[in-house]
Amino acid sequence: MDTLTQLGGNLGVGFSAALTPPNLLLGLIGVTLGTAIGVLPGIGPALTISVLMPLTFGMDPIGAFIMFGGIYYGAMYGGSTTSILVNMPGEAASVMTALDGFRMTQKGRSGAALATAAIGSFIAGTFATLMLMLMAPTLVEFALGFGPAEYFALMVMALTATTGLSGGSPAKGAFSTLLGLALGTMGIDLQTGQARFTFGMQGLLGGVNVVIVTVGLFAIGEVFWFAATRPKQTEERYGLSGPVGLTRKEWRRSIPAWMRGTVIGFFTGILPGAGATVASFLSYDAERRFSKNPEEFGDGAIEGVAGPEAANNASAGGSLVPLLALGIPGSGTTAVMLAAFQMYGLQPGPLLFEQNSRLVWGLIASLYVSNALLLALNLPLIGVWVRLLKVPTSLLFAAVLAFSTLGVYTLNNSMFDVGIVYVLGILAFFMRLYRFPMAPTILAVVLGPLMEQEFRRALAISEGDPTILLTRPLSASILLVAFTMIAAPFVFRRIAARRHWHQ
Amino acid sequence: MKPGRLLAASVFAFGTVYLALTFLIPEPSGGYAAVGPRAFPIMIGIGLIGCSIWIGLGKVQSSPVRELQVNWQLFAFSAVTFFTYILLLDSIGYVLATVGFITLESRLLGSRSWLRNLTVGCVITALVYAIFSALLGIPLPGV
Repeated sequence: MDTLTQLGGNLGVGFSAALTPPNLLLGLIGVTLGTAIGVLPGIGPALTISVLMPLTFGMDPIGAFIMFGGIYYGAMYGGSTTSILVNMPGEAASVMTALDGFRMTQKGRSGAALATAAIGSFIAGTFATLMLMLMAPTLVEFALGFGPAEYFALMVMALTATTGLSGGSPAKGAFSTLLGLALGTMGIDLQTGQARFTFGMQGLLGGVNVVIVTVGLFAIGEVFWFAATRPKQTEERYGLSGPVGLTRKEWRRSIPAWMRGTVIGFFTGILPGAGATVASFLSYDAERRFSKNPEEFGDGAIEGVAGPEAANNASAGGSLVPLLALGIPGSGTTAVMLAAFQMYGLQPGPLLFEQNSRLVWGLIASLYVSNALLLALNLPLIGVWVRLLKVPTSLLFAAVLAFSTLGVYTLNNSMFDVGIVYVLGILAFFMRLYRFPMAPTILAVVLGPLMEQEFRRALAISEGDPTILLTRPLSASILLVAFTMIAAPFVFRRIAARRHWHQ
Repeated sequence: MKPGRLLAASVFAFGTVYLALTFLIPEPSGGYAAVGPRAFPIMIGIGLIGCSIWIGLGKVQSSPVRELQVNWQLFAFSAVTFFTYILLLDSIGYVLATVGFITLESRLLGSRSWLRNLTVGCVITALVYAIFSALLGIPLPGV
């Protein structure tokens, strides 16, 4: 009972922070912006938060993070609208939604699809925030026993999981990760003051900021890719048909799918490396298995929309658990959020819960508020979002390119940084050409310096003995899990192959 | 050389160069705890070399994404336009440079109406001014 009153107290503090007019406004801006970028292809929450970081620098951190949280959740809502109506998912996490969602639209049931997506997202988002609220403090308690060796092991696990699960070849994922780690070593070594890999160039002394990496890889690289490959736009455009609502039968089919999707999504989100995309895949697969009419899938089964949509929203909440409780991000977006914390001189983790509980609980409370705002924004305003899609990608991308370039300049008033962004953009183009994933690089750039710090601390404690990582039971078991993460794709492939044989 | 081998070789070269540069990092003088500024980079360098071997050996899909036609010309034009934009930012100031850049780049990316492109360019530049300069007082290049 004591913990419950404590929880209530914390939540009270949180809501009092989240519901102040300026923070409410920032939340509204966040969810609106988030939905918009979820709708628009090529721009994601990681990039958006990244570009906004220099702009929010002077702000009160609570407000900034409320906005970022709104953007994160909002992007998960926005992607579904365009998946369903025009078969153009704005986010990878919404690809599964398009399968049955667009089919429903073609059959004249777009209203139902949109309703099930929005309501499912709301339920999932609220439930995930609830779970976050319950789990994070518990995890913090557990983490009090963690030393540098354990943190190092956890970060290794986060990186190997991302490498293994990034889809495609793990060898390429490994390169992306190592590239990020290498970029992270550039600059002045904080512990000895030695300059590393700076080639005598002053601009590199501060290291390569994560904003630079995100803008270079995601924005510049994306535009170059678009220029070179110019995907054709789908011609099929359907209007909104049927009322936006669900029949009783549709409710009955959606509710279990929402529940399953939420659970799958939340726990997938907690795992580093596995994010909204994996969550939506797993949910779709699960729905097909649980369905009494699996042949309907791909042809407009409502569970195929309800499940994945709930899953991707729940995963956003789940991914905030390791970030807030341990300070360990598991995805590109949470890595950028960690960098935002660092920019404010904050370190998420047990210490933040203790010293800055207003910020943490304010953020958590704001997620509830954001969810409600998103439900309100997404059902009535669907027409607006669809019209947003009509903005030609050419203009959009040119504008994004200019805007984010200027944003990078303002980081350090440095054209040199802009030059680095350019080089990274070209690199990103070739990485995409040869199918190298980019999310592990972002994660590694942020995590690398932290990892190194923990590694050196651990070895300082053991007086130079590296086996400390293996002799401490907790860190050894985490490293074991990390190691299996690299083996994971091979295992999955074998299982998938075996299933093929049996079909 | 097969594309897979080329990729592996590039990664190998990168790893080797990185590792070599690591040894240029001076170790701090005076006895220090076992792990200095070189340790982590050395691990990364070894990792990169190992990775290149992994890429070279495996049944990695190392050919470029084949289903797409890569328009190298458009890529090159985009790259050059953007590079020019960066070069001009300081000399002619961000206002002119940005308007010009957006107009030109959006045409390159497919938007055919010069008027529309110019309008968007002006609007975005005005937005940038409003947010960065007016609202936040952050200096921008060339001004």
